[in-house]
Amino acid sequence: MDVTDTRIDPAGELTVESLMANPRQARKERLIRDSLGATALVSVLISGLIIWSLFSEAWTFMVEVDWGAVWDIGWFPRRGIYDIKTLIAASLIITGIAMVVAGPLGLGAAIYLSEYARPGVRRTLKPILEILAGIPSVVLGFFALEWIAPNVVKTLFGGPAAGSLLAAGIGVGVLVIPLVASISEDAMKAVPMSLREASSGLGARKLTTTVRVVLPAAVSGLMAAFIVAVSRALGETMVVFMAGGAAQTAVYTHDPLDGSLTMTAGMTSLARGTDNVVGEGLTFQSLFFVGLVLFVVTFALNLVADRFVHRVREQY
Amino acid sequence: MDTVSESVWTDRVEAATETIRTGQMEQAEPQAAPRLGQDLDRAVQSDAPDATGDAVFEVEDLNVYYGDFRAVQDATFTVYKREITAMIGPSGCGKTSVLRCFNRMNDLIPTARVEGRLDFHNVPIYDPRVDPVEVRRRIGMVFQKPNPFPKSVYDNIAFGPRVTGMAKKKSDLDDIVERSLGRSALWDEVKDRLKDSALGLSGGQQQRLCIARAIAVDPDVLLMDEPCSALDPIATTRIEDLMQEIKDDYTIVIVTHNMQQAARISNRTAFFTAQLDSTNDQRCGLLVEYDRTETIFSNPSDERTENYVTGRFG
Repeated sequence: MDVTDTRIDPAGELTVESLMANPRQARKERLIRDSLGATALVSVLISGLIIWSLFSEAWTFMVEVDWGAVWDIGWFPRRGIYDIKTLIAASLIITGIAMVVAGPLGLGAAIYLSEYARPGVRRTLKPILEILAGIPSVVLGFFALEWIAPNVVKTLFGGPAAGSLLAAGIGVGVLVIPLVASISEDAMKAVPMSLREASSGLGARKLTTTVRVVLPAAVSGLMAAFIVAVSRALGETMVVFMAGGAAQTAVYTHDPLDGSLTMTAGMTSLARGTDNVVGEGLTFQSLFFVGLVLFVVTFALNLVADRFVHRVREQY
Repeated sequence: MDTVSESVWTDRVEAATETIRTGQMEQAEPQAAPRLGQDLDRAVQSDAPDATGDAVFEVEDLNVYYGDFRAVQDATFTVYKREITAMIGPSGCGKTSVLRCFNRMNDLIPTARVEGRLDFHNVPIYDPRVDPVEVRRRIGMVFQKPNPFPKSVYDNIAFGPRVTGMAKKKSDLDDIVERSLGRSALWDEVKDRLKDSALGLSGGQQQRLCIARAIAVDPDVLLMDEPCSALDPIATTRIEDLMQEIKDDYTIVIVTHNMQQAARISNRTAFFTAQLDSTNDQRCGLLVEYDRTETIFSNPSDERTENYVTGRFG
């Protein structure tokens, strides 16, 4: 500190001036605040731009499309048949299967890591789990097509050895297990030790403590894990495109053993490396419409989950 | 404190010290603290109506380790039935570690290890065949910081009876909840808000709720780990009154930083201190002296105890 720079009156008399902020410091503070604010603003602006472009093109589609083509027999965008329910059904089926796979496995892993594993085991397993989360989805797509389809879907469920909704769903499930496990484990670890002690002190067994005390107290975090996983599964593209069992077009189906296109896969199959989407007049705009539907579904899911969490949460 | 209890207190202290001075000196040679305690028992029996020979916990050469660190060294003492036994001493002297041995709470810490003999009604509770869950159902615990579950007042009390399968019917459960809250002097304050979250209660109410929760499973012993350290003096007084009321039914072991509290409420006091171990330069908890509370505070046999209780140290 530069002592001569302080403006305390040499006579020792305290004035308002002597308590005023150093103008240089104040300028610096302002600068830092403004530049941090600017970075926040940029991300908001980008999000706004994305939503605007999504809405404007989707609006064109919704105004000009013949709505009969939006509720039809399947997804044939180049021939002007944009049956959205085909894509939504495939997306929901795959997400459902993925959550059936990842929910119990992820939660089970989280409970083991947080409540049962000895510290050494936990220190080893948790990083492995997080590495698993970093596996590129194209690798998992290949795995789903080449291993899950023939070995699980065909052998256990009698489905096709090639791609199907079930194969893609299981693949996406494997993909989101680490996500579910990691977030759930964090949520459970955050529950204060004192609550576990209170429960053990009353003669509760470990499983009882976990089910009756830890899980209810961690429910908002568990819900967050579930939502993130569902959003990830809904938005997952590569695995479902590779292993979903349909290339460019799909007839409506709700049989998991059939092949179909999800919203994301439908968009991918059209837009590959160029915006010169070939097809009928509105094919290009239909992409934005599907994107908008995906956005709305994900957004609605978040809202519902938020409501749910507020109702059942045990705040500690 | 009010004057009546103070004069009773002084009388008892004088009577106790008198007995020691007159009869039993050679027998009460302070070789080991527990011997002293037991001999004094015989010595002051007529004087203290609550002194009985029933041992609840017999502790011998108890050592507690956390990894390589020895937290408690060779503690030996006996806790008697329907008495309040206080453990006092400076921070890091191992008193909480000892307390947490009594209901095998140390098992929850992966690195903790306990050696030595610890008998609960003559049963060695660290026997490998003993299930800690069964131990904890008989020995309740109240913690330093009130730790109600983030559930309703009712569900907090009902938790223990539910998980131990004590109450099958809703009406039985209602009875237990009302009785436990009544015993902990909380019923009148919360009877209209049983369905509200327990976290909405004040700190003192939360701690009484935790006591009610502990006695709802009808334990034999109540362990209390500095139960008043997070509370204001008024709430503290209420908890102390409560302990006096329930001590006819429960054996209570309490860890406290507050010497006045130990002097006010307990029948016996164990004084622990932290001793520097010269071989590894670590501090280790040591039981210095265990005796009737009056003796510990008026006529301790160890200089370290005297220094501590008179405020010259710690």
